[in-house]
Amino acid sequence: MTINPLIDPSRQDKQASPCILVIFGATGDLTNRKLVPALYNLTKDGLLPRQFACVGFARRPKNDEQFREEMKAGIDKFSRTKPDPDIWNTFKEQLFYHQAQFDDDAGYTSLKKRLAELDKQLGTKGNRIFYLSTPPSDFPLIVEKLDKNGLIYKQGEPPFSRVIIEKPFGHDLRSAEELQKELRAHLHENQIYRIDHYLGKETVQNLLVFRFTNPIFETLWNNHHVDHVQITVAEEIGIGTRGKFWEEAGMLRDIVQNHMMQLVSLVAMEPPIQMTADSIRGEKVKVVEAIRPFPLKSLDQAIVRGQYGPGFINGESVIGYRQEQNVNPESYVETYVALKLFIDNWRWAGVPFYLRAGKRLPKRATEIAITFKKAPGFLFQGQHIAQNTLVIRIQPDEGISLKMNCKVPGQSTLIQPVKMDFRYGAYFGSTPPEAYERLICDCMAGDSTLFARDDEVLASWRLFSPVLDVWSKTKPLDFPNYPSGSWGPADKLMQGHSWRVI
Amino acid sequence: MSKHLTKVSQIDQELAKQYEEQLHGQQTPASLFNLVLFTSSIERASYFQHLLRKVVEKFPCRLIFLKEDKNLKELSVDVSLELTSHAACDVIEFNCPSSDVQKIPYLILPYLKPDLPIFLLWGQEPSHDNPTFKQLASFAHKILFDSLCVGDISHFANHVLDMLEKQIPLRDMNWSSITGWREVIARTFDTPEKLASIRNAERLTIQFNSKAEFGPCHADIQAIYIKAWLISKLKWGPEVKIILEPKEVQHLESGEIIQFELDSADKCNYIITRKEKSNLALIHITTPEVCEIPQTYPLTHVQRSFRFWREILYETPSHDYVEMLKILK
Repeated sequence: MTINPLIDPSRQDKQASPCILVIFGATGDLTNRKLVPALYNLTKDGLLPRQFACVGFARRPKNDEQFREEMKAGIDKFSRTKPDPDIWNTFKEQLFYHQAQFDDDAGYTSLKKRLAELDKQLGTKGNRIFYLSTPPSDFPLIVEKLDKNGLIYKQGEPPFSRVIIEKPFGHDLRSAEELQKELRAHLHENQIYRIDHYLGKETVQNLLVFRFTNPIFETLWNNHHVDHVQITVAEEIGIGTRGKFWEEAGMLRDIVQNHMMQLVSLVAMEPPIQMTADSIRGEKVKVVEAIRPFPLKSLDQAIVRGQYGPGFINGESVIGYRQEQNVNPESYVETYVALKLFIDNWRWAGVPFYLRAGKRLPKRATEIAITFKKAPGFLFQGQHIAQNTLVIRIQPDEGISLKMNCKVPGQSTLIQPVKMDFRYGAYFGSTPPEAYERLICDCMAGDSTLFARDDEVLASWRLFSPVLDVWSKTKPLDFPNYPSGSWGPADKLMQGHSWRVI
Repeated sequence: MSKHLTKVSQIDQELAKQYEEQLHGQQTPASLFNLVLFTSSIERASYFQHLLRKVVEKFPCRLIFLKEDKNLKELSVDVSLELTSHAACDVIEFNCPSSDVQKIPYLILPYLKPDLPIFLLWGQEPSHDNPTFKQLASFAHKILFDSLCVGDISHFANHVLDMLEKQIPLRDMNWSSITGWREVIARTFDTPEKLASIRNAERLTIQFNSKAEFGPCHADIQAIYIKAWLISKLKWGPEVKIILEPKEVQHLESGEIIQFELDSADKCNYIITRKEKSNLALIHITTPEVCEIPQTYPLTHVQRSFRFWREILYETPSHDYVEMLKILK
């Protein structure tokens, strides 16, 4: 293959390869709100090659022009940057629509022909990315059809073919294993890109930079110095119109098993030997595999589940989960999970990790708080000495703060905790790229660092599948057990510690 | 709002006063680094002032502007805050008579924010013989050059190559200014057929903005860089006729590239034009068989965008830059 001498290989920005991105389920919400606006912004930033096309594949009848108009409306509404008519006029010529059924071979044959024509027209070199923005139950069918109709190539020499799938990757261990088996029948693991959009967030990526470029913190990052870790994913919104989805999923499946496990593994992992996808993901999976299994016979000592009732958010009264649209009025699905876990390895032995995730909590906040061990108190007797706490704020008000103790000016020695605070917004004011922009670009460049690997996903399911099994057999008779606007029902988990007030 | 002071010792007090008066909770005092700029050209001082404001919008920093002015009799200082939507940055401008130029390195030392990188933007011809340059460069973490200001390009290229050999961290602003153009050109010729076409170029015309708003300057520098870059990458010889065509355009900055037009031996014509009042390039390709539909592509580093400053401040010179300088040497 001819290498273009005019491309500078030393540029820090990733070089996305020419390709065609086929989005299955292109008439869905995700395409309109996230995927196409992400592609548009990548185009605007000059990060998409000229030799690029996006083909929406879906059941509904429409033509290219209609699809383009719908995508324009999505960009106008959801793009993080102001839409530019000149950019749009070029970008829209790269958008196409292919109407077909997921289960119809004829649709794939015609797709293959169309893609070949686009290759000739646009110079996309035969490279393919298939984004499955569909219910997970459709993944095996689509992949099988793609393979059967020659749209997936063998891993190895160019051109490449890759498949991006969205969570949930199964709804328990057995289904996750089954899904993996079905995908692997047609794809090499290196062709599978499992999106967890948390990994596309700047602040989550910053975890690796922060940990491994600041030795001052890395030397304290262990059970000699850390008292406990709290990770919070709080939302003030309820489930909205997603009642049908939520009744099948619940908080453990939707947030804890995937996003929170990513945060835990990034916080707790060992430094990788190199900054490559497999090195980093290898260290992450070791964390999950070292997590002590939850005690199934006394599960409520380790995991608390909750469901929001009526209450108040921002001064307005709100309904409870069971009153939401498409929710069973006697539902036992959890909207809140708090858990205490232990990582049984040399670095973290004995350090509790407290995780909580919930809907209809007082505010939206995702953060990781590392609380360090108490100072010996004999020097300043009678004084309250706050424990140093390093907080990494993932969203909103992205940044990092460190709480430390200082003397209050005056004759006597009084101690006051103060905060050193770095805020992203104050320093890097420009709007950072959206997670999907980073992730799609990485997939086009063949970098799987920010995508979940099969063993990570399965290790996480091994941990939580037994919990789901117990829960399915035991009804939480106290549901709903926290009013909307409160911090949830998990105080009893915190022996000797207390949940942070955020 | 700038305050003119006659005593350097009043700087901190004046800054504190301005913070108290001007900040109303919307901005945070913020500095990622110290940016020191030196120029002895009063005409170019306004240009640099305009440039520095653009940095601050994207990367809050402490700005220290050193202006040597042979017409001044006395040293004075102007102190102000540059406010963006999210940050407040200190701006300290020293107006230094030529008779006091030896004081310059000592003037700034107390006003460098500790523990932060120091970038030196040297606003004129670099020279090892210039004691001010030597001293300022000695504590800078990185030196930035604006080659628009240089006189002799070959001398400049030699000097920079020499510094690179000594592993002195530096960045050439005009090389970064054409990053967007290099990307567009690379993407335009990104098929085997088009690569073959450009390798067999017969004629290249690069039109650049010859406007000289702030005194004499090397307005053709970006055009020269593109020419030298292509020669180094494609190994063109004298068979390719290269024309650098000046044109005055008021709404663009001096030196900005306006158009790139290439004719190849296979009778193909490639025109990449900067769209008027926009950061986009219009690519128009005509072959003997077909006239392709024009395409638009963003020029990412023009108008001193976030990506431009990010590259200047955080990236290291590339192999391509070094090879380009060797052509100019």
